[in-house]
Amino acid sequence: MQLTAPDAATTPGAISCALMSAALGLASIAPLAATPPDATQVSFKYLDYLDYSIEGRRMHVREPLLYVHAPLGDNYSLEASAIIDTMSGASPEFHNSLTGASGKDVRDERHAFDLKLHRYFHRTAVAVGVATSNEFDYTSQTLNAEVQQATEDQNTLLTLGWSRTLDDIGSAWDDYLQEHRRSSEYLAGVTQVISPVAILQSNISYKASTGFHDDPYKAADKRPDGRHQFIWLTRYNQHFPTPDMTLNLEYRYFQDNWDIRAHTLGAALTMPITQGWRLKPSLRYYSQSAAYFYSDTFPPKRFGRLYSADYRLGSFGAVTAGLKLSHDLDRDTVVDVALERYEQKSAWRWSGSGSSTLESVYARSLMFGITHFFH
Amino acid sequence: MRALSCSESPTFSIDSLMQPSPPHRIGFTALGCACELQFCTPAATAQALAERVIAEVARIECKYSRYRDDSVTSAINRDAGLRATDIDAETAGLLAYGAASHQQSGGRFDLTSGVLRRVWQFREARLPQQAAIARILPLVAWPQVKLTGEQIYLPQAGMEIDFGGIGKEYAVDRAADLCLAWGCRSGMVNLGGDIRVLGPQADGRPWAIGITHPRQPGSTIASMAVDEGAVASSGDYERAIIVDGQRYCHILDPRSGWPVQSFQSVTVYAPRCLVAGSLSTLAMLLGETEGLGMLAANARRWLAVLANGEMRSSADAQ
Amino acid sequence: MSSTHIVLVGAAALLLSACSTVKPWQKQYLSKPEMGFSADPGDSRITEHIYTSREAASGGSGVGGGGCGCN
Repeated sequence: MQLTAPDAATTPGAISCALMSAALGLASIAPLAATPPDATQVSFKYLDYLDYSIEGRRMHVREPLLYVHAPLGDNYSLEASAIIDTMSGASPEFHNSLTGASGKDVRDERHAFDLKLHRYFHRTAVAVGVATSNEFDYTSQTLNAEVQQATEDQNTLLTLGWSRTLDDIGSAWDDYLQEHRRSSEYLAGVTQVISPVAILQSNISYKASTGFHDDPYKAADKRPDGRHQFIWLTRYNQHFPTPDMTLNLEYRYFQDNWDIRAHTLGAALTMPITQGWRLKPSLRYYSQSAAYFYSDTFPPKRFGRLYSADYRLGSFGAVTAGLKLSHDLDRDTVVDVALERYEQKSAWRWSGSGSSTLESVYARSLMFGITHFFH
Repeated sequence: MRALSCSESPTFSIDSLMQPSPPHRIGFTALGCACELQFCTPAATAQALAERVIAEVARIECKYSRYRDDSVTSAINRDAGLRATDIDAETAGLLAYGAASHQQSGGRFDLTSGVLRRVWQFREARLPQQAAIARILPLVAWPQVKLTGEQIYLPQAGMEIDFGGIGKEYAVDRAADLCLAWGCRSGMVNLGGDIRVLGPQADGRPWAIGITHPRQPGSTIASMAVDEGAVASSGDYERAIIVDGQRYCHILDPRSGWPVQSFQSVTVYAPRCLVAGSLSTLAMLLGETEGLGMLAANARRWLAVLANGEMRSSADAQ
Repeated sequence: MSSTHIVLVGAAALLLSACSTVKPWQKQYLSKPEMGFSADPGDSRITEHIYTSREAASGGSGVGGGGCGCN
């Protein structure tokens, strides 16, 4: 007699569910543990980004990315990624900051690589990494290190991070421009399991940079030699078993010694549509106040010898609305596609005086991704 | 495949390329029974996996065996009536599973019922005295056990915790999870008849799990095609005595101290072996009428052999 | 520190004090990828770059990605 699986899946009764839940609890699941991955992850992502202002200036960025995270034996793992970023169209410039030089059409290519080696101990993990980013007029090299420590009950994870970056800045307009900038960044964070369905992370970072901060392509741009940044990021995830949805919330506070204060608020909701398909709408609100030496008048107002008309140092708000669709091809493969629309408006700023002459910026991103776990 | 010899250039028939090699079988003894692992992987991988599984099963056996003085079980039982015992996360998890099954079974699962083996030894065909059972029965008292995430306290001297009813199924799940974590998606773990299938065989076919005939050892009454998941059975034939024509099996109802008399055997399929084992034992403890109802509501696939030899299964319900 | 900050820190402290010790066998939901903070490292590398080129604020989640000339 052959016993085959029933055609319609019967909903398991209460006894079976309760026992299953207790049995699953015995399976060692420790999401906070500083443990190596048990499979090699390979992800390929492709970003197609287009931004356009009212004046019709366009910047088109195409960015394929390859990411790998592979375990090496029982105690090590290696993470690596490579990005090739192709940008065409005008560099972001606004005519109110120019005195004649029109937008330069630049076919710009950027290559970025990073490598990080992780070593895992009982409840501790350490990592060292290097990263480099190269464009024809800009090179950046970073060295970073990180330590993570989990508590005995695996409900709390402490993270300490450090990095040192060296930037070399040149200019397509000025062959003699050879400037440098050095930064150090420090991070301290805690990740805490709040309940069986909720987890919180809060990180404080401090970044100090000295050297050349100007934008070489802006005619009206002279920035301080130093910058100190303080960032406080808090993220909260909660799962709702009944509709099987997961909520991601995030708030980031930014402050630097250029007087810029920024708030970022983000929310996303992952919801299953049908078996193996998930939808994730997301919303992000960003607001920043202007740097003290920012000026949108023409000619720009100076603060000592400093001035900048770069709208990115001005005061504005921005909203991103996004939608991501994911599909599980099989147990180890996910494909996804996401569409995001970004809009920046001076009137959307939270507080502070807005740059009234700032034009709106719109951008749309289309992202494709495929991730596979190799065993 | 044709045998190779030095004078021939190696050729392989298309058939042999299409047919995957049979699974590697590794047999060993643990938990007092014959165990077998089957992996559809290269030989070296199968060997490495088997070593890990055998080590893990041995670890569980050493940690929870009531026959070892240095086991966690013995430590807890020595402290009965005296003090609370510190327990680690794994032990707390097993005890929590015991609590859940006690609740879900209306008190029929009881991790403290091991003391009844002092009166039911199933060696001689002789029933224990009711008075002896009555003396032991007060020690079978899971509701009295004080359990937190870090400690357990058995309030009466002489009380015992016995993981015998769930230990083997737990070991199957741990072994299977280990193999899955190491990337083996095609194979099977069998510890004394408690089975968990990791994934279909190399050619995509499911594994055929034979269900033992409860009265004819060595022959099967049915087979289950399993792609992935666990199969466990409970029966009245594993250890039983027959007195005056009546069979008394090793599955004891902790509320009365007497063996159940219901099915000859119950086999259940569930995603995890602990659940499959608990559901099959619970069906035995509930008796035929209630047991069939419970199986129909909770088990996706099951087969039961009634006391009179008739078979009922999940296939009937359709 | 502004009053907003005090409210936020207070809320965080309240939330942390509400934590009960979660046992390993209760963590099956926490190990879902969407419940983690580094679920999709590819995505975060890409989106980080988009925002860094448009906004003054950056970072906070980790240290040391390569910078870019977009300032």
